[in-house]
Amino acid sequence: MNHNNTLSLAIMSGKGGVGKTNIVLNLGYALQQADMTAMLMDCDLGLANLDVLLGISPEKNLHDLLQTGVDAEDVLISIEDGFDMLPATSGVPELVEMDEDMQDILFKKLVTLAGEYDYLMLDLGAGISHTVLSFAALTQLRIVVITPEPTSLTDSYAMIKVLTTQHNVKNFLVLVNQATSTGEARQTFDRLSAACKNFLKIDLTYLGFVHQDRTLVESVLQQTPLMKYAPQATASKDIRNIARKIIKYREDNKERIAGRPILKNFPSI
Amino acid sequence: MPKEKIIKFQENELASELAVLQEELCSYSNFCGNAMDASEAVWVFRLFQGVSPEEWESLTAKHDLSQWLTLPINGDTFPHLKQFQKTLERLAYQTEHDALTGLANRRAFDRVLDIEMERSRRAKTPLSLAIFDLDDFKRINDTYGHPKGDEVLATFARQLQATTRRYDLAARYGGEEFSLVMAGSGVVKAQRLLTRFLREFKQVEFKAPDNDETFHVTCSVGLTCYKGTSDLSVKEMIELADEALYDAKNSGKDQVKVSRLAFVEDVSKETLVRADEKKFLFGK
Repeated sequence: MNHNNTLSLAIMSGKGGVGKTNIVLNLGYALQQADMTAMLMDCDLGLANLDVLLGISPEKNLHDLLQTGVDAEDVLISIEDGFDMLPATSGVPELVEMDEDMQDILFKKLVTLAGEYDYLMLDLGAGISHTVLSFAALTQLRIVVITPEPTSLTDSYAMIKVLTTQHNVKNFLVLVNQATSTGEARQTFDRLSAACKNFLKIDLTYLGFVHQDRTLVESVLQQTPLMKYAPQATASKDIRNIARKIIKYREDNKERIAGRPILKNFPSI
Repeated sequence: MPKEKIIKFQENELASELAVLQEELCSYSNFCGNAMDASEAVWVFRLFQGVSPEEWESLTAKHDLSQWLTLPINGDTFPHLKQFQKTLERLAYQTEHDALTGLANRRAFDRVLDIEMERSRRAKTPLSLAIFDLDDFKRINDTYGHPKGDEVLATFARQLQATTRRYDLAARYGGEEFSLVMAGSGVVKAQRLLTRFLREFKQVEFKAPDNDETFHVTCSVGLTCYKGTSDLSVKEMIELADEALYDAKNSGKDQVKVSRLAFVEDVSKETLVRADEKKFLFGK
């Protein structure tokens, strides 16, 4: 096996509307600003959002990548130097449930390319569809984005339960978004963590939290990523903190990462 | 001696000889059953002089000897081999078809349902099974006679065959019971087809044999559906359809009833978020 330096991350949330895509995009920015390279894949396959947050309208997307003769390079969009993304489609229900064969075509085309980045980040759609679950089981790490809302707690718990019992996935990092204080964030995590420990017998890892921040809403309306729009905003600082933790994880686990394929079931990647 | 007489003599001799042989052989195990082991199968030859292929054919029809094959001692074997093949084809057809209606018989039905269930299990595709029973069929036989009853059965079969799609299998299941295997159809699709069929069939007009009277026939249907998600056996699937048929009969006949559905009951509960887990999450 080739020595692999790429850390793959799936960013997911049981519930929609918890700010997952914003977190992914800005985390990618933070990594790039820390001189890391990252490839971001919009895996919300039927309803793409990443391109919208960036204020771009890509000509090609993952749907095209499935066609013969189209390579990853043709579809890849450069956001910043060393920070690229693969946009998804909007309005193609056939792609929401991507079967094994389609996944195979897709990931085979990403083989060489993904290995050139320090991070491969999959922005998964909300919910517990077959595609979301199978993609989540592929990556080395999973970041579950939750908010203090009770609906977010139950939805993310349900998602973790399905992944644990049906896909044998047991390690999750939790990021609390839209928290009003350190205490509230911690309390939110503790509640989910205690339920997982109590009923599923697994330990969750606390990755940190991002403050509720009006600036973020403004940046979305401006279709400019927060890290670029307001680098000194509270939420930007929080995201940089989280990026630092992820970078540290990659540094500390270089050997483990090198020994594993970027995506499980796709050892060639 | 005139030729006619010789044949007559031989015919009686032949028929009684074959009857004795048949009876004798049937006492052996396996002979009358389904087991077919080449090492335990023999050809039985008996020389008959003075019987032409045409005469043999009429004897076959008269004495129900279609399982007996002929070969000439001398001369052209071709007509015999052709007849041989025709007989084999007919026999093969008979093993899987019902003589009266031309539909698949119970044996073919069992075989196809088994294959389709396996396919459904592997591909997780829906498979529906309907069992039909003509309403008050005994009364039709009693009132209009058995030939009329047979006509009703044959008409029903024809109509059923015409309503179904090419990859459905319609079979005569027993006396006045029929079945339909619908591969790829779920409950909704199957129910739509069956309801339409019932409506069309009861509009068919049958004429009484002795007078100008006409009558209509209805039927009841039990429907079940499998989606390959559980380990349902062929027997269990038939039982489910039978239960639904029983239900249809008890609910006033002339209707389709759906059985309890295994695929609804078998939804995995291991991932379900229970009430106690929710309470725990909310700290209550």
